[in-house]
Amino acid sequence: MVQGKPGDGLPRGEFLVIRLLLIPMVRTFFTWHIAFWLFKREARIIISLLEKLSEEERLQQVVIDKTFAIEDHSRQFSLNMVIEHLCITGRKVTSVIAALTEEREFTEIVTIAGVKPFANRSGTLDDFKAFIDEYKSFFTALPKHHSKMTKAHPWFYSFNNFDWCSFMYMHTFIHRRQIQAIIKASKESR
Amino acid sequence: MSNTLGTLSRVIGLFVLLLGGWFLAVTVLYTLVTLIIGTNFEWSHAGMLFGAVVIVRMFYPRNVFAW
Repeated sequence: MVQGKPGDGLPRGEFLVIRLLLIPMVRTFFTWHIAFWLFKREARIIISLLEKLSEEERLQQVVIDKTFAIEDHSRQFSLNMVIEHLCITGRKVTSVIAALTEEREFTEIVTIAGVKPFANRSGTLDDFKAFIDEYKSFFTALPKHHSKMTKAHPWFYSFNNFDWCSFMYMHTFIHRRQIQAIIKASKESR
Repeated sequence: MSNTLGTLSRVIGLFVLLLGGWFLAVTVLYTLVTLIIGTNFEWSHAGMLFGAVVIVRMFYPRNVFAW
């Protein structure tokens, strides 16, 4: 069932589309509040999708087809594993944004393998809701200025605090699409 | 439709909406200025202003191609 290794990366075409087209467009047309509003919308969609399902359904691991910007290793996740990944990544990114906003260097090495879910376990939806509330409070209190200090994303550019804030939306959106693919695949497998 | 195509079409849709939103914001501001100083509204001027705003956004506060 295991496909690829954590951190193997994206196919070259997807990588180039994101790096040369998507990131520059996000940087041009997003503002702090557009990124935050879109992030909240994605969180609402994810919560409403998952609340309709039982814990047993959320724990079911299915292999999905290739989805955009999701590496092969993550194609066998359960819904709870996706949610756990969103919580781990979200909290890590929040720490990065906080450090960069204060023009502090974020010295911890961020790897893709390091933000993968630890296990397929119950209770991650409640943790996700708690994280969304934490992020809302964090963003509201955040001074909205572009930092000079940056922290490199393992795959892409050296991001400043605004880039990481926009990344929070794009990352959640990509995984919302993965969640929809998992739900569809689970229904088809029954 | 595959999940990838669905994702890409949503991304394109989002950017079309964002382009529209920025154009609307620039056009509204330009309209207010023409009303205040009493000059004629020209769509070509609104288009040029929008282009200028996009170019400024590409290089300020940060070069969007910087990596």
